[in-house]
Amino acid sequence: MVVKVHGSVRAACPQRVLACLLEKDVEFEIFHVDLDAGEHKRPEFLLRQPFGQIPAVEDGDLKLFESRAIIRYYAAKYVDRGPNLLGNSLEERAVVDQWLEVEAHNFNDLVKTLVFQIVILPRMGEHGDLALAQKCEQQLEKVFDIYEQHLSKSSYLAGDSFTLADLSHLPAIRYLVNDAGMGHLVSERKHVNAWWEDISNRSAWKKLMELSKY
Amino acid sequence: MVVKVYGPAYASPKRVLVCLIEKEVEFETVPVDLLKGEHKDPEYLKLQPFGTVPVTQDGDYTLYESRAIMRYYAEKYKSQGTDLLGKTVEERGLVENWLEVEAQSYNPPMFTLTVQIMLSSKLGLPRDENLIKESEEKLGKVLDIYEERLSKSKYLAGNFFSLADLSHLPFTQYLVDHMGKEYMIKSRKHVSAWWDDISSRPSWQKVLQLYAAPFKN
Repeated sequence: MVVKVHGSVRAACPQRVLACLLEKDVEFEIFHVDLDAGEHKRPEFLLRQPFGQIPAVEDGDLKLFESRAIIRYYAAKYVDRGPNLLGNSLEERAVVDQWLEVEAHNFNDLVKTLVFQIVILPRMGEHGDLALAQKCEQQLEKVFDIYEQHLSKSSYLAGDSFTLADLSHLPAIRYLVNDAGMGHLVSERKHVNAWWEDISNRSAWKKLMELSKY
Repeated sequence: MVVKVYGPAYASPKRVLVCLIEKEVEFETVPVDLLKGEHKDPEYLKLQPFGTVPVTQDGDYTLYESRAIMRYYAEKYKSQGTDLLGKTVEERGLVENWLEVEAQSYNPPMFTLTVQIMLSSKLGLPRDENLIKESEEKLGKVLDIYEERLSKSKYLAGNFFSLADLSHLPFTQYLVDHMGKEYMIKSRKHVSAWWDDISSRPSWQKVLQLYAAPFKN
């Protein structure tokens, strides 16, 4: 069955899901949601995702939302197909979940706020709050220092192989490096840089970049 | 070897405690005084580099982030205690869906309210009444969505109790007991019934008995 993914191919959260489906070689169809037109806040979409956010998926009878829930579901459902994105034991899986939580709580909000202020608002013809953006950047420096320390001992976040924990960071770091002029956060850190080069060169991610037509 | 849980006085570690009790797993606790800044001590940062509670130590195995810890123990001890992850891959997917909702949509305004109402005086900071009002509005909208969901489903992930419900216990208890905002729960029929159900579970009552909230008003 083809997985229906409702969202925009260029938006961070749907990209998390699409990258996972590409890694696991799961067929999908993208149903574009026009954020600029407010489609995600209309009653028909709210039936699908009551918080008015993308993505939402439909897989036969199963309807799911929240990108980090969706990737956990597909990584588990297709554990025997393609790369193992959940680690090789329960203990490794828990470390994957740990870093997924770190990404969600210590990393994502900072990137979202920073990107909103220096990329999205100007695109809309408005002034971003540069002081707020700078504050986020400073906090991100500290977070990236922790990642640098960790990745100096571990090739990937949860151990020796690529997992959902690494995958989950791809969309946000792409925004930082390509759109927000914040590449220095990555390039100034030897191990973070090597890790980013590695994970962003995976064929699934490159395929998604092609689909996104940046 | 007994699991050690750091920071039992606080809300996030209580997610882990109630999960361990539901799974009938023995544990010990190690106090961490956040007001004294113990979570920023170099020794603590070796365990949890982001300087938050909880951390668990299970022999050599250290884990942090309460929702990661809960998932681990719920899976590891699948065959004992309460089933907290659903019975199929699909049910687990729904549990993950609503656990993420708790983390992404429910917890942020809850956490802001906790800091503003319960902590600001302890930290010597003025309450930001605008922020409180804004957070209450945001939380209200989330609770409206929960009301709709729980009118169709006994628990968040389906007709079975799971980690998704359990994850809400600690901060919601703060809301009803220490912030004077019980009406937010009570005024919503299905949310209220759900809250009464999950908060009266013996496991949660035991946590409340053993580990009082550190900051009360």
